[in-house]
Amino acid sequence: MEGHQKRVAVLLACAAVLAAVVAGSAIARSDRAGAGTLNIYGYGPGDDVQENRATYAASQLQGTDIKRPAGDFNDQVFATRLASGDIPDLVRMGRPRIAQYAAKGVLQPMDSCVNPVKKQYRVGAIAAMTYKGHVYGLPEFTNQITLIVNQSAFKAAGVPISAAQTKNKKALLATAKKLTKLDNNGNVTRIGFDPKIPEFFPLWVKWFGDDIISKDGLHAKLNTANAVSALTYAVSIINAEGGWNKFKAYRDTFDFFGRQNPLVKDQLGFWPMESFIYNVFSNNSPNADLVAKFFTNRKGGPITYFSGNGWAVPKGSKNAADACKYMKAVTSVDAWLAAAKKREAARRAAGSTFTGLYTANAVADAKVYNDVYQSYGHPQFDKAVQTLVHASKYGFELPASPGGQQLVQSYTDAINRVLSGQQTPKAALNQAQREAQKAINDNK
Amino acid sequence: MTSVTLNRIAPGPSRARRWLSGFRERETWIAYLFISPWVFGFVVLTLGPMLFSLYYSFTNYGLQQIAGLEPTKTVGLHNYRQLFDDPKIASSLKNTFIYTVMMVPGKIIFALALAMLLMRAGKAAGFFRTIFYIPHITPPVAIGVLLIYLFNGRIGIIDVGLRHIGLPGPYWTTDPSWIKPSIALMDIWACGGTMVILLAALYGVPQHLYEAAAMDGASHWRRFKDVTLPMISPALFFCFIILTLAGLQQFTQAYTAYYGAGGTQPEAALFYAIYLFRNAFEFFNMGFASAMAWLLFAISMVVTVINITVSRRFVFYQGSARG
Repeated sequence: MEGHQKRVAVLLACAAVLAAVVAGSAIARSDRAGAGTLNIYGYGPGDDVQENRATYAASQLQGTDIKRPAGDFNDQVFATRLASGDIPDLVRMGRPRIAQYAAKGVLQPMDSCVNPVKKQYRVGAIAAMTYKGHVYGLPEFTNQITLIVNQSAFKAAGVPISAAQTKNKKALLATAKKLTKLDNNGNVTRIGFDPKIPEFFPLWVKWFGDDIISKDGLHAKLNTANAVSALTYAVSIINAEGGWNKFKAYRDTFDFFGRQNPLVKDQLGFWPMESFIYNVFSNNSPNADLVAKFFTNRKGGPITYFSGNGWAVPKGSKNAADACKYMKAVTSVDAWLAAAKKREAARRAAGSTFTGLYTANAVADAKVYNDVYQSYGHPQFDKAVQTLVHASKYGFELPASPGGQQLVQSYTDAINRVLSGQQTPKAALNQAQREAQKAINDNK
Repeated sequence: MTSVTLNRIAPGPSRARRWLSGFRERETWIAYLFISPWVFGFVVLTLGPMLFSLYYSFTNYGLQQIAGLEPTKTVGLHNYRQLFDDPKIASSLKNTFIYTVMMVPGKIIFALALAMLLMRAGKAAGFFRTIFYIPHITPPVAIGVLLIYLFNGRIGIIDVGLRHIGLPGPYWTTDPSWIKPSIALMDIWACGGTMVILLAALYGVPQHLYEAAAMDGASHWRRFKDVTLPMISPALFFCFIILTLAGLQQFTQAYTAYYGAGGTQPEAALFYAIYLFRNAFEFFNMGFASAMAWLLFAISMVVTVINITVSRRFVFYQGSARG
């Protein structure tokens, strides 16, 4: 029996040691995250622009230990960190998520931090960071949409470049058909026009003069007559080019970000695309025969759809003061300018082209354009830069919504159902409307 | 007579007391010490989370509760009622069942065919066993990525091969009718684990049974049907149960191929586990996701019980009478 008691005592001692180790590590973890340290999440090591901006921002926070673990923002990881009390001091995430997290009370309003610099930033981007009258952070990049036209394809098809337009519905469909090339087996060898749905569905609805969500972000408008017409029309283009199966199977073969991109390989006629692609194309295929044009509404006026990331401070951040300083620094005119100068120098040294940076900071964009950008002897990219600079005046962005992410998910699912022939546009968007509105109601 | 009656009704030490008395023995302590890592893992990593999820399935547990901003409130059967209101529950369950029905028999038949070929491969059996097993140890994420390339309707090696023999290949990755078969085929390709189990079972079939059957003039088919199949039926049944449960939980390949970065997210690839994951970790409806998990658990249990019941007619265990 004595031996039995000894064994129980040993077991209890082991349990006590284990408990002490667990408690000790918890204390150590909470100590690590004190003031003087800035734990950033969603802004891991990235490309030269990201790193140069991070270097600039760090230089503005002398004495602060800045931690930037690898990886982009991930909802699951963020939730796990919230649950475990390992709350990041500053996060970078897609702008549709900001209001969703703000509505749940996970982010803290940053009015006093943001208000002094707010005027520099694009109105739509700031609106996407604003929920119930409070600004929750600062916007970062702003992707904007323009039309990229494969000039060689137009020449080969005998179609004038003027036909690369989005003003006239019927003419757009006709041009898409003319530019589409099929082989003897009926396989697509060039897609005439890619409407880029589901990604750019908000742009197509805007093209029909409507929005997919109310300005206050509380009412989904996914099944309006204009939204149904927009989807019906965009799908009709794809159907006219061989149908979704052939279209998608062919598009999946593209090497969009490499040297054998669809412009070089003459795989696409024209299509709307985010601004960042010009930097990719100019680097990988500086002699690509492209023309940049405005995506216009049906009256001929330019429209573009903004999207991008934003910076926010979670509730429970142990260093909100430095978080504020960092987000202002990393999205400041000087940060963008420093990054732009270094990229321009690197591209010049490599004999390549720099096509500017397009951000949510309008002042920074103007400064980069005026002070850094210059012609590199590739007129097609010079024209693209001019187009982007002007297009940025005509942008719209989805307003902040407590169901922002699920709104996007709902219309994405709906469009996929339509493209695969499972539902009509009306039925699919009716279902999407119900799902999105429920998410908004549940989250607000 | 009296003593007999007394012996019959005299209570021995209770089960609990017998269990406790075992701890007087050194061997009992050692036995528990050796199984303690498993017990600890089971309690902390399986049973604990299961009980928590059962509790959460009756609550509004979500992002505010995760962040500790609001208390968790019970909502009764609300999450379970919502299972019937959400059309994606039915569609994702349907996708999962269809996929499982295709994958399980396909994988067992293919694995059995390979195992039988290996039985005849002689000295090369070891080499081919390794080759056939490699897909099984390929990470499911890699298989998911591979799927999109192999099954591309235009340049995918499967369609190119089909076209060479004059068959028009389907658009596996875009046509909703072909998305699930393509995922099932990838799973069947990675049948190495099942093949090894069946190979071991085939090696265990006594040769004299084949010899006796041959002497009786049984054809190859009769020997396979009346000797091989009954003798390996426990292994087949084991594979059937394990693969069915794995099929009901299909996630990684489909998620990587269709729901990862840049994925097209077709509804035909929305398996139940994927929808559960999205509700939990993308939309933070943890209470609802927990209810979904328990529905899947209940379905898995029902399917397993049905399988076990039906199996009594078909599975032959040596040393026991056929049920």
